[in-house]
This record gives sequence, C-alpha cells and structure tokens, in this order.
Amino acid sequence: MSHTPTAIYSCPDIPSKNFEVDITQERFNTTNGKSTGPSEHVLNAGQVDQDKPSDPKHIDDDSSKGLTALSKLRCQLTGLQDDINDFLTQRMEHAKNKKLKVSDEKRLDQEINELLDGGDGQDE
Amino acid sequence: MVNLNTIPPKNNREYYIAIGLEGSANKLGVGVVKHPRLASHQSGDNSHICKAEILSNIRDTYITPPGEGFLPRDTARHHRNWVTRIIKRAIKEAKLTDPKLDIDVICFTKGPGMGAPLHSVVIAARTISLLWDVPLIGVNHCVGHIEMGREITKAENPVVLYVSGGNTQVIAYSENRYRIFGETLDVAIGNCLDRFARTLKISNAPSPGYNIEQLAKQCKNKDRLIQLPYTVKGMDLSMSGILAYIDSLAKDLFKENKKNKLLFDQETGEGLVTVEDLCYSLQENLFAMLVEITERAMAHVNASQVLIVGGVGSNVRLQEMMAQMCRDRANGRVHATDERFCIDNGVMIAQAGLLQYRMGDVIKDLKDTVVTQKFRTDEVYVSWRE
Amino acid sequence: MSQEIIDTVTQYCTKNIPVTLISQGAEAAIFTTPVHPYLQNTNEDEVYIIKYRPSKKYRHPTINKALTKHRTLSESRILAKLFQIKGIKVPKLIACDPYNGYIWLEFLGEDLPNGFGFSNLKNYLWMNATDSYHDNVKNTLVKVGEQIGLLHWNDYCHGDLTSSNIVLVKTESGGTWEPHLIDFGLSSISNLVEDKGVDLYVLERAIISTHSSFSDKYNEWILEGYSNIYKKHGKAGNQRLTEVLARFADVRMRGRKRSMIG
Repeated sequence: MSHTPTAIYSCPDIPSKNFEVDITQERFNTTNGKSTGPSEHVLNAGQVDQDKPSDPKHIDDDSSKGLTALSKLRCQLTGLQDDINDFLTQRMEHAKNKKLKVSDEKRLDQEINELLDGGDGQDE
Repeated sequence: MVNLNTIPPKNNREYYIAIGLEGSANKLGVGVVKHPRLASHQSGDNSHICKAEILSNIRDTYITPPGEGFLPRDTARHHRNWVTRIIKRAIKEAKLTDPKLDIDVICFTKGPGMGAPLHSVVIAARTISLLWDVPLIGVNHCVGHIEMGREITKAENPVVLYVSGGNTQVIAYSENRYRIFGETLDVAIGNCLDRFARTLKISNAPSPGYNIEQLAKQCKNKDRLIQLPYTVKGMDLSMSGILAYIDSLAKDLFKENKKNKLLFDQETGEGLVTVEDLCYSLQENLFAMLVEITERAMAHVNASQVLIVGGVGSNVRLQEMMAQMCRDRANGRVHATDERFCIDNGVMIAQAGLLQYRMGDVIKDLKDTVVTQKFRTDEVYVSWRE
Repeated sequence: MSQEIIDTVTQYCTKNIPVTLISQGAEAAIFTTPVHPYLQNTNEDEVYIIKYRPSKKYRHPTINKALTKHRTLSESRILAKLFQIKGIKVPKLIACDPYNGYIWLEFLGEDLPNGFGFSNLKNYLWMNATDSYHDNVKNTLVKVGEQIGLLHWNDYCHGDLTSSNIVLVKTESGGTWEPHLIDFGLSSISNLVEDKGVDLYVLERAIISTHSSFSDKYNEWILEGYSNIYKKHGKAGNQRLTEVLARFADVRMRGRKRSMIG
C-alpha cells in the first residue's frame, strides 16, 4: 500500500476543492508536465530550456524494473501541479473576462510588459 | 544599548552560522556566513565589523534571449529547478557536515521582489527549516544589500546609493531605520537600462547593464554627447522621459529610419550615431543624475561617505564618477563592492538575517514566513544599530 | 577641492571683492562679501552672498555647461519675478553671470543660539526637538506652508524643497521667525498639478527622513499654512486646492505602490 499526494484548495466562494492522483492517467506518470514548462513567449523568442526536469529514474537504473519511490512522487506531483494550474488559470480567466475589453493579443502583450517592468500581474 | 550577543550560538560554540536564500528576481543565490562571537558586540554599534567569514556564495542566473525580459513564471521555474542543487553546493562548499547541528538560522528574502520567484525560494527555506529543525528569519532585500556592503567595506555610517533592476534609492540611517532620502519617481535605473537593451537586442548574458557598460567604453565620439533630458527633482529623480526619448532613438537606429536627422546625415544617408554612442550618452546622463542626488543627500545629512550597492553598483563608470564627486568633497570617500556582493546573492541575506537573529528576532510560526512583493526599506526596524 | 573653488572664485572676483566661503552645498559654494557691485556707501556691517556653481568633474563637460547656465539663469529669473509678488519672501537678486555660474544675492538669516548653526528650518527644528510642539514651532511651520502655497498659487514650483532650503529670518520685533525660500536652481514656472504634487511630496519626504519623530505634526502644519493661501481665493481657490491635494495623495501612492524588485 503506498500513499499518494493530495491537494486541497479553499477560498471564500469555494469551501474545498480536492485534487487527487489517478495513476491510470498519463499525466501522473511523467515529469514533463504540460503546464510546468517554460512559457510559450520565451520559447518563441528562442529560449533553450535549461531548467528541464530530469526524466523519472527506474530502480537500479533498470528500465524493466519499476520507478523509484521518489521518481513516482515527482511524477504524481507533476500531474497534480498540472491540474491545479488548469483550475487556477480558469478561475483567473473567469475573473478577468468580466472586465475584458481589449483584444486578447493586445491584452497579453500589455500584461507581459507590465510583468517585465516589475508589476505583479494583478489588476490595480 | 545594542547587544548582538543576546542569543548564544548553538551547541556552546563560539561562532554563529547562517545560511541565506535569495531569489527575488532572476538570480538564485545561496550563501553561508559565519560570525565569531566577539566581546565588542556586547554593547555598542559595531554591526559593521562582524568579522564575517563567507563560507560559500553560490549563484545561478536565469538568462533570457536578447530582446526578452524575464517573466515571473519562468524565473520561478528556474529557481524551483535549481534551488535544491544550489543549497547542496553551498552546504558542501562551506564544509558543513551536519546542517542540523551547524546552522543557527535560515534566512530568506521576504521581499521586495517578484511574487512567484520569492514564493519558490521561501518554500525551499521552509522545507529545510522543518527538515533540520532550524529557525527562520525573513529579510528585506534592500537591507541585505546595505548590511553586506557595510560589512565588506567597514563603512560605518554612509549615505547608501541603492541601484538595481527594481530600485533606485538614496538611503541614510537615522533613528533605527534606513530612511529613504531620494528615489526615482518612476522607473528604476536597472529597469531603464534593461528596457533600452531590449530595444537594441543587446545580450542579456551576463546582464544587459554589463553589456551596455562595455559598449559605452567603445564609444568613439565621447565629446559629441547626445543631449538627453536631465530630470533631478530635489533628491529624487525621474527617468521615464529619458527612457522614452532614447528608446525612440534606439528604435530608429535599429530600423535604420533615415529620416531621423540626429542619427543619419540627411544628404548622404550616412549614420552619425552608433549603438556605442547611445550607450555612452545614456550612461553619462543617468549616472550624473545619480551622483548629483547622492551628493545632495550627503550635503543634507552632513555625511562624508558613500556606499554603492545593488546590481548597477558594479558598474565601474558609476563608481568612478562617484569617487570623483567624493574626492571633491571634504574628506569624502566612496565604498563599493565587486560583483560577488553587488549582484543579488545569498550571503547578503544571511548577513542581515544573522544580525536580526542575534538581536533575538526570530520567526515563531510558519504563518509569519509569507513573502511580500512590496516591502519598503524604511519599514524595517533596525534593532542592531544605535 | 574646496581650495580649488576658493581659488577660482577669488580670481574671478579680483582683489577688490574679498570673499569668504561659508558653506559648500551639493550644487553650489556660498561665499559672503562686504562689497556691493553697484551701490556705493552701503552700511559697513552689510554682507552679500555670492553663490557659485562649480563645474563638476564627474559630469560630462556638455552636461556641465548646459546645467550651469540653465540653473543659474533660471534661478535668477525666478528670484527676480518672485521678489515682485506680494507676500512671497525670497532673497533679493543683485547680479548674475549665467555662463560662469555666479549669482549675487542679499544675505538672509543669522546664527542660532547655543551652537545650533545657521538659521535654516532644519537646524531650527533640531534646536526645538526637545519642545517640538511649541506654538512657535507651529507658527513657523504654518508660515512655511503659506510661502509654498503662495509660490504654487502663482504657478511656480520650487523643485527642491527641503528643510535646508528654507531660511528663517527673525522679525524686527524679535520673538518670531519669517521663513524665506532659497535655492531656486531646480525651480520652474508651471501650472501643472503634477509638478505641484511632486513638490509637496518631495518636501513631505524630506521632513519625514530628516525630522522623523515629529514629521506627522510638522507636515500637518505645513499643509495647514498651504491650504490657508488657497482658501483665501474663495470657490476657485478651494477647487484648485482640492486638485493639488488629490494629486499629492496620488504621487504619494505611486511612491508606495512602486514595486521594488531587487
């Protein structure tokens, strides 16, 4: 019997939202998350990703054996992080949509510039 | 009466050891510092002579392609991916065999800085604190720079010019606070240089400011200075007008807009101004303003010493100009540190944090380790000075 | 360097105009001289100020030249204009040489008792630090506010308001002090609320950093005097006051909100 990590999100309008690992899903079996990579913006600018997480390790480095306990945990956390990021991004988008006026592209550019100039990415 | 020996070192040792974690912007730094327990610290203001020994000072910088700045999300990712390795290296280089027994306190940057990178680093700090059962201290980034500068240069009570990517401040100590006498009214000096570098697609490695400095050295028309706005307001200054103007020049130069009379000969179409010339003029103009407001603050508080800290402080031209100004004032002296300490690092966080710790200021609850993007220098109560 | 400045000024003034250095500020060196350039038969005890802006070696010669000329000329012009405005108290301009950076002025102020130094607002407040909330201190600061109010009401901005740049002159009856604004090198003619807001912010910050323990009250009294001037002008005055104070609050917020990344 092994333990898996879980996460709980709560805030005034959501009493509690649970995130759990489902090892049958691919995203809980990789260290390469879909939302944990570098942002598209820098990749387009020619960034070489030097901060890539290493691949999960097998026991005794033997690919016929299973993953090490720590590597399993890393994979499961990567999946959880993806789920949480998705959820939070949706919430943010939802909150922003209410006052959205400028076009998406322009808004993105604006936000990136604000961030680069030391803003905190939050609306004043 | 200041007593820096309030809290005894661990295990009846005669020295303190602190580890510092810094990651408020694109540099991730971990450093280990050691203070001997001195009788001279029992009473009196000797916080600038700790006889600090730097056991290790490891840093890794997140570098973006030319023309791009660093976004919080990617910077935080860089810090997350490197923080464990950097901590391990810092511990190893400091020859600490058992952090649990060796380290008195873990210091982290509480702010100011970019939210996401600050968060990734504080999580690492909390983790090792729980792992080793060592207390935590949150440090103001700017105070870290000041205390490191004082310790390295032994400047007792200088006017501090703090110049970095997000900050431009003239600071002096008075009544237990580092008070801000002058500062930028809009953008910070480092930000101004970074944005200019982005327009001209100047490389970000090792830093845009460093490359501007090197280009400026190669300027061949030093007597033909490009006139830029010079906007000093009392001890404050404004740089947004200069940035907008030089940025438009840089854009025209980059796109070869031949209609610009300042940049191109209208008859032959020949270029009159080079990238090097722009870099030179920008530096001369901005730094003259910085030196002027520093001198104003010195005259106002009757100080004779200046300490330059922060990333832009490692610029040799700025140091030269400041030294010249000090020479021309009675008994004036300028103190600056080199890039190991000017540029964000973990040691400075350890140094300031250890001073706080030795005065008995320690975090009791993990709830108090929340980091903050905005944290002014004068918010910190400086208990270790008289 | 001080000697170098003294030599330059002594040479410029020639033997006939003896000069004594009394202070070296950040931007200018201040000398006194018993000689008036064009009036004969002045009082023997009378002294005048010669303010000299030396060129700064750290600064590019082009910037130096432009700044010296601009600041000397603009200070002279503004002093001349302000002197004619009723109620505004500034030193009287006697002569100026903008290309070489010289201004000849009336001497104001005196030495404070007990070694507290020259009678500028900074030293005066430090002298009174033991009894900071005395009525005299309040009166003086309200008058300081009134001077700044008058300046702004007439669309001038000082640009460098600190407690060092306000000189106190004893009233003839003794007892109370009359604040005079000096050092107009960074001043400008401006009707922009932004400039006025920044002016007030710069002063507020100077007071907070230099006179920390009592700064709340001090700033309150200065603003009281400032508002007095605007309120004298009825509805229009009140409206302009509201605008300036709102912008002042805004500039202050900007300062606090400015995110500060190391």
